[in-house]
Amino acid sequence: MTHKINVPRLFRERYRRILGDEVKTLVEYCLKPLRKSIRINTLKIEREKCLRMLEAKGWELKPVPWYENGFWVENRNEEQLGNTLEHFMGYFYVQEASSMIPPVVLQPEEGDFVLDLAAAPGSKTTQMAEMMRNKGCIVANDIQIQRIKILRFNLEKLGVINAVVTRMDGRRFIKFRERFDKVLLDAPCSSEGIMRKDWKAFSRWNIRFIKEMARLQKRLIDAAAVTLKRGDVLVYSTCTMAPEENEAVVDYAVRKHGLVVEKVKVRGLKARHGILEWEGQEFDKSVKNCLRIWPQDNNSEGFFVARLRKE
Amino acid sequence: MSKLKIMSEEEKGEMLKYLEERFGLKKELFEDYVFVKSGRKIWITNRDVVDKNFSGLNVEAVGMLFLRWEKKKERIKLTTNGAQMFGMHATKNVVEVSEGKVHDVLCGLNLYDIECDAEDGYVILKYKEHILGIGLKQGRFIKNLIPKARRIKKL
Ligand SMILES: C[S@@+](CC[C@H](N)C(=O)[O-])C[C@H]1O[C@@H](n2cnc3c(N)ncnc32)[C@H](O)[C@@H]1O
Repeated sequence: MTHKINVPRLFRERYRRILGDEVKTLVEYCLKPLRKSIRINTLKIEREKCLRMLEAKGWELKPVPWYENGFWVENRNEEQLGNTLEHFMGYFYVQEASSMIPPVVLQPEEGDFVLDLAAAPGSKTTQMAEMMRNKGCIVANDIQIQRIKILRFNLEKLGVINAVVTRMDGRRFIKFRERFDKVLLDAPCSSEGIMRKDWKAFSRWNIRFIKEMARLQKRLIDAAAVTLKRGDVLVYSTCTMAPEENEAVVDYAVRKHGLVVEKVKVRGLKARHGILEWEGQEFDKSVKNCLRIWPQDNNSEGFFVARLRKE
Repeated sequence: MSKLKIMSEEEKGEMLKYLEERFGLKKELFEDYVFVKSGRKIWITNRDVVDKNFSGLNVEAVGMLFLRWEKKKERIKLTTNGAQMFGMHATKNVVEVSEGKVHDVLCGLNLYDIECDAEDGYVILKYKEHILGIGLKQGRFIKNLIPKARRIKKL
């Protein structure tokens, strides 16, 4: 099913430079509705038990290969997912499959002191809490009061007790030198990768906004890099495909803070390398180690993920 | 959250006494947790959280809102999320919701004509092994206290 949506010409032209003719496939996928997926919340229920309950209702669940608690739901719509006892109980959370990747790449552990710098509405915070089995501590920060309300609601509903919610401009964390064992910066971005959820977003799409976001992302990654302890890991992710907001930001962090981009392998995920040149700017060779996930690669949202170590 | 302090052993003891008296929740269940107090609100978190460095941070919440503290015992209220975390261990003042009524409860409707041996006051609402939340019982009537935002839509 395709919709009558105007995909801006400049959008096609930009990605033709990376993808060549495959840009047609990109546009085609951008206009396809997104598959629904859920993450079973093992803070509140065992995975097998929840699966049995959902399957007994006739749900067709297909495992997301990169996260053991992630499942695509083939035969239910969003409203049907929400209006169930299991959803009410917080036994599962509706989360796009590619949004489960950044925590998998960060691998927070039980005792860690983790910072989630742009956390609302908490999809990744709650996933990390589950990975840490409610141990250690996650500082879940956001700047927007309304979004923080939703963040708090989700944390509590899913039974998270190891999170401390803060409301601050993420850039201010630059004052707290070497405080955290791990940092997730799931940055505010132009959200090209999720146009599949909101086609109207194409009408708002423009280069100025991308550039503005890129400036903010650099300030946020400055703070993330400074507040991370030496020897530890920062994951930078966005749900956009724009190189200005992705490779260029990682390249900046490599040059400015000496962060090292690590190679990552995510089970069952099709991803491409980071690109090494954009509009005449050449990036550090290590930027190749970033994961560039196009919507057509896994029939998901578009995503970008980089694992950076502070040596 | 301006003033935030860890609950003293004495206050914690009082709270656990209430939970045991009201719901039969044994104090050992809470050994691994830390309770943080801010006004009348009590939050539950783990031990790792309390020794972390939060200086300079603008903290809005710590862990999960667990209970609202009141001088009058009968007004102390466990939250829906607190009940969902520990309610399966409760041995009294638990009301079993029937199959036919569970959807109503999830939608936020009150319960009428309930026959059960729970005392008046706050009760835990349960369906099979699932702890739905808290209700306020007065005779055969139970007021549904599941927060609006948690309720599901009427089908
Ligand atoms: C992509 S969303 C985060 C999604 C979230 N990580 C999740 O998985 O649910 C980006 C967030 O950044 C927040 N944000 C924007 N500017 C910020 C800033 N300067 N400091 C902190 N957060 C900011 C927005 O309010 C938004 O909630």
